[in-house]
Amino acid sequence: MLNNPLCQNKTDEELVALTLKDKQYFVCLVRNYENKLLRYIQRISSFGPDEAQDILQEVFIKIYQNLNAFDKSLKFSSWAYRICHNQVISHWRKTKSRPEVLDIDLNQDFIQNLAANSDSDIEKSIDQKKLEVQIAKVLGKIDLKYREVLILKFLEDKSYREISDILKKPEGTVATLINRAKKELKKQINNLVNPPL
Amino acid sequence: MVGNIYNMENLEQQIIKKIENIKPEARWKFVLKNIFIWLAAGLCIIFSSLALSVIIYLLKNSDWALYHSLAGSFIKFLALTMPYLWLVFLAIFTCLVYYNFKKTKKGYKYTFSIILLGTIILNVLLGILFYNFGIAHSIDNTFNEKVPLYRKMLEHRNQPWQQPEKGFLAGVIAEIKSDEEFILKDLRGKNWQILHQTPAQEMDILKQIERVKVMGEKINEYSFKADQIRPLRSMPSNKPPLINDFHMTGPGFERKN
Repeated sequence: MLNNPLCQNKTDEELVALTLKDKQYFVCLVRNYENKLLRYIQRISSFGPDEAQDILQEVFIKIYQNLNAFDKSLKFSSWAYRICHNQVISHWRKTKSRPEVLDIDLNQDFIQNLAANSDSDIEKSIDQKKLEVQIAKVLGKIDLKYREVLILKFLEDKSYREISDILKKPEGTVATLINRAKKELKKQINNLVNPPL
Repeated sequence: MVGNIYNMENLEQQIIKKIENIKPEARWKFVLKNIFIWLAAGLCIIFSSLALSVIIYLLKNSDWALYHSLAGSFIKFLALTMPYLWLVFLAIFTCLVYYNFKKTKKGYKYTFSIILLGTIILNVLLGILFYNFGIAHSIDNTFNEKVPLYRKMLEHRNQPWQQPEKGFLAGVIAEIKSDEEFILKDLRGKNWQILHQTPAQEMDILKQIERVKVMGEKINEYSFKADQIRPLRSMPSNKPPLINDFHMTGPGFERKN
């Protein structure tokens, strides 16, 4: 399907315009984003695969229904992530469930990104493999507002501007949240490595 | 990878099947929604500026020169004459401006302090403009005449004038007996015989107003000698005072420097 000539050499923004004329093109947008958004849902929530897929379906239907509201000054990906974020929150409210511990799939890039962007010596304090396990454990436990910015910044590799557009918060607030989130993460890791007596 | 674990092709088909029977919402609906949000924000700015203009008007027309005689201290006078009702309106509409602005397309990009600062600047500019056009006076007068509850809620501002022993009295003219005497029903409902020497040309004006504040001297439990009479509600800045202006003389009227 990715090789579908319908989708080739077209930007997301062009695909939005084309979908409004012919709904066939929507499949290209679905293809471009289904994996990214599904992974994002699972990273920020505790929903199982079936529930995550149900949410993803709702996200794409919302995207399709609101295509005319797409603001061309935004990146389509930011807009899609925003809808996805809102849908997860709305699903939580409906089911009244809140994740306690998440199983977050971390990759090496995340650890390196976080360490490179951190003024702390997280990486040095414990060995790499152990760190990966600890971060995954702690990330699932910290407050959603912190977890989400860390995931967007270091796992989804989004810029401050994109995170601001996704979470609908000023860029300055995003920067503050990321700093606090890193401190919180460090504190939690330290607590895990050296538990208070 | 996630894509390998779940059947993404199946998911795609389900999505395509679902959107077959639906259409994207029309663009005009979103445009209309944005217009409504901006309109609501604009209206709230106007309402909060109107509230501020009435606050300016009421504060400007407080008897600042007499604060010491009326209340004993500046802080006490301020607490007694502050138009709390309009301050509450100002706060409510300012919050609504913030709420509506945040709902606009780009509203989320601005911090609370920037939106608040922008709202305050607009409020001050429009508030002064409305005040200078006499709109604040009209609002206060209209509410005062037509809404008894409003009168009651701002009654506290007149309380410093319910001190006959100190030479201050306020209330409603119940009956004009002669060119030198009228009956005043004070703020607590007690009738006073007011003796005065208002010049003949100003008597016509006195007959037109209902609520007055009187400065003078208490003669006995039912009589009061007036040195000065002025309407309880001030006139707009572009009109002359109704009755002769205060001279700040006589017992109880000394200005504290």
